[in-house]
Amino acid sequence: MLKYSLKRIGYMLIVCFVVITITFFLVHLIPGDPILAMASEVPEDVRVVYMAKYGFDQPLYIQYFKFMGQLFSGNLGDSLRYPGRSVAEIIKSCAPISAQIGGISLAIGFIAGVVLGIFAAMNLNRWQDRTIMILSLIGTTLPVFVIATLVQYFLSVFWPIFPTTGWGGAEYLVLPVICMLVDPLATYARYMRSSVLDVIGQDYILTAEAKGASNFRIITRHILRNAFIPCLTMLVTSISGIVAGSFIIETVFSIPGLGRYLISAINDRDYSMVLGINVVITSFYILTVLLADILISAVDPRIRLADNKGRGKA
Amino acid sequence: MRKFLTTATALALLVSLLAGCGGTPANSPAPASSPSSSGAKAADSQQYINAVLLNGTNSSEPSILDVVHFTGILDRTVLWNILEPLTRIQNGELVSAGAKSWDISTDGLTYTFKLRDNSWSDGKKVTAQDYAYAIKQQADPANTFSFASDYFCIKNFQAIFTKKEGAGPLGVEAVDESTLKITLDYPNPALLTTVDFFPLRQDYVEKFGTKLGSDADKLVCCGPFVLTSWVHNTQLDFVKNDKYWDASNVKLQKFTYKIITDTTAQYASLENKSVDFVTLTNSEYVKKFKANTNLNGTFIDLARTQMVVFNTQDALFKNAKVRQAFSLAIDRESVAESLNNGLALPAYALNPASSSVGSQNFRKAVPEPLLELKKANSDPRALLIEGLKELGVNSDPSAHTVSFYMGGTNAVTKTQGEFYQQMWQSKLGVKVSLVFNDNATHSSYLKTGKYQFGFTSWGANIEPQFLMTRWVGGGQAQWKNSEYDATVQKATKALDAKERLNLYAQAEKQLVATEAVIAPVVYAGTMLFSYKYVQGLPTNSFDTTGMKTVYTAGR
Repeated sequence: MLKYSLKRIGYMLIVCFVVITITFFLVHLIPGDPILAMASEVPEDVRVVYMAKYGFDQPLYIQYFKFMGQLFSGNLGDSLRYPGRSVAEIIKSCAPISAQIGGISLAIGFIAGVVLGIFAAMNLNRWQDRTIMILSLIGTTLPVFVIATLVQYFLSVFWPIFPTTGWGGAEYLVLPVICMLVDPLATYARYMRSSVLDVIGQDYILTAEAKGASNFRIITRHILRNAFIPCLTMLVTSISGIVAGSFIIETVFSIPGLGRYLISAINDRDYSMVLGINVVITSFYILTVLLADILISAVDPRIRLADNKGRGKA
Repeated sequence: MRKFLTTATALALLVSLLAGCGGTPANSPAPASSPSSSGAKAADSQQYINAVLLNGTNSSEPSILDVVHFTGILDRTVLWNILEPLTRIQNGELVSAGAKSWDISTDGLTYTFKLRDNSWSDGKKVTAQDYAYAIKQQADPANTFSFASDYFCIKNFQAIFTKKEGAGPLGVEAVDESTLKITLDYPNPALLTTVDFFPLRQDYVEKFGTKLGSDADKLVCCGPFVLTSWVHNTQLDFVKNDKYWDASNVKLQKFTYKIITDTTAQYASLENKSVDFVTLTNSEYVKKFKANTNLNGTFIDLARTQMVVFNTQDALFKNAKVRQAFSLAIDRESVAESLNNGLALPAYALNPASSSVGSQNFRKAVPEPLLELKKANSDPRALLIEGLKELGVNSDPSAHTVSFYMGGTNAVTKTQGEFYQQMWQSKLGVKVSLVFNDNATHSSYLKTGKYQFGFTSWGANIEPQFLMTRWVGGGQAQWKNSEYDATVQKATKALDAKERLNLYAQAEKQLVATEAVIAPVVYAGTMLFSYKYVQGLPTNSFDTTGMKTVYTAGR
């Protein structure tokens, strides 16, 4: 178990290193530079002074080693677009906001989606099933900016119940959460339905029926327990994405989350910001997956054994 | 394991490549604002305003509220509200602000400012030392001040900023607590209408270092308002500054700048009165808001010229006749009408209608040079063929394919691109291919000459100086012309307004007509919609008064 965990942690560090290296060279290879992105009228004299200050006039590999050295000492650097603010500070204040909205909408979307999925599977091919499936199909295909604009218009202009944009009390959470839960709700409803249908067809359900188990017992003890496992695996991936936030939702509702920086930092050629956010998101993603893997392997020894066998063969 | 690697790598790639859409780079003087309606209602007892922090129609987070590190027009817009520059521009005119009067020597080289009695929000007096300290910090190369080149006329500023050896002392001196003297290396009659001389507190710089101005609790104010809170990327809140010298004329008790980058969200905010005014160009919403009797609609000249710029080092565009042909083939009226919903005016010159030289309106004195060229050449295609013959290449236009570069990757930019493509293909018979890049990439291609011809826009200052000097030494057009450079440089230093006007007129004609290095297309404009109770909004794009003059009556 310990060996397995250590191996996974080792892999994780390698992945982080590779991702950061690739990102570093990619962002520096995009044409343009931070000062041009900021103000195109800056004359050459000023540009030269600026580039020298941040070391951008040096060869890329030197900049790379400097950056990695800085990173190992735990420093993500300062934002170029927002002078006076460090990347770590921005991430520290923005990521929890994105995670809050993402977390609440994922929790509601997941629970409601799973319940609807089971309900649909239990009413297979009846009107309840059809309605849920059509609505969830619309939910998964409707682009989030359309949902956001519609929700914003109807619940803040047409019926002025909630604030149009901004951040502060709980009332500012409602609209973004509504927009963000549509996707997990629809996705998990469809996933859970097919998972339940899959399990219903298994031999052990037939066995349970033959043994005379009650319907309630079959559903709770046999169907749900087994159908739930694939959904849980998917949930890990969903959780790992919540700190990144949503660019569109955060833009439409003017939310001070991390999602906005993810895209704007690239447009602004804010190198340290792009890299800093990437480091954090990658680490969080890998960490979540790693934790899930270790937990599952602790519960289910088959995974550990299969992994060892696979290595032996190769 | 490999799966993790690929997933993570894909994530990194995706993040890096997701260069989204963007607005136009910002550099014009601030957005403007609205009409003083004739309603003689009494001012409300509760004075507050909610506004979108806007540059033209773009809203975004200010970078920093510090006078040496700020980078853009939105930062300046906020600074106008919380600091007191020596002078301001109100209704397009230079007015006294932090300085109650100033004296310019006859050779135009010495400026002496007499300061007003004004206080910082912490009670300390605003002194000439504060203004001098700001300029000294702006000249320090360690601070990489983005607008440094506007200050290069100040004695030794350029030498200090570019780290020249043996640079003399900076030409800025606090004679006493209320007298500031600025000496120049060469005269610059546009100086006061180009820069804001803001004050800066040395003790605050020493206390906060580079963090000064990055949050509401890390700055000190001396303008009409005090910044009380700043939720990054969401909103900034201000209250009236009771210690401000002109506080009796500031009616607003508080106001909020909201950062709403999504335009649809801006319109929704106006509709439900979350904001009291907004500017927009979207034709559907212009129609909708015009029909709303609670709103006033005012056309705002943004003092920004949109243009096509030619790479004069290109094998085809090095020929003036070819450039003229492409310029004349543009149907400016239909660009203004169809692409800009009538919210732009056809441009047959570089300098917009609001430009002035001294007290003389530039456009009223100097006719647009492209009109004359257009009259003389009714068939741009014939002109193109002549140009091709001069170049000694195939004189059949259809044998040539040219690439038109545009900044922006959204649907609006694509529609614009196709419009231009159609125009040139049908009028000239050439093949035009379109190249779209995100704004930073586009700017970099234009700057380094990695393009054939492309779309750009430049915001004007009151004096033509800013727009005209963009092409000295080549600029985006990579154009080397010593005659143009000499004329413009002479103009920027000419103290006599009449001489200056003539020199600018001569240079402008060369730039857009004789040599046709750029093809101005339209002067950009926008509609300002405000609720009828909003009074005193500035409508001149050059104004630097911020919210100082705004109030409400009959809310």
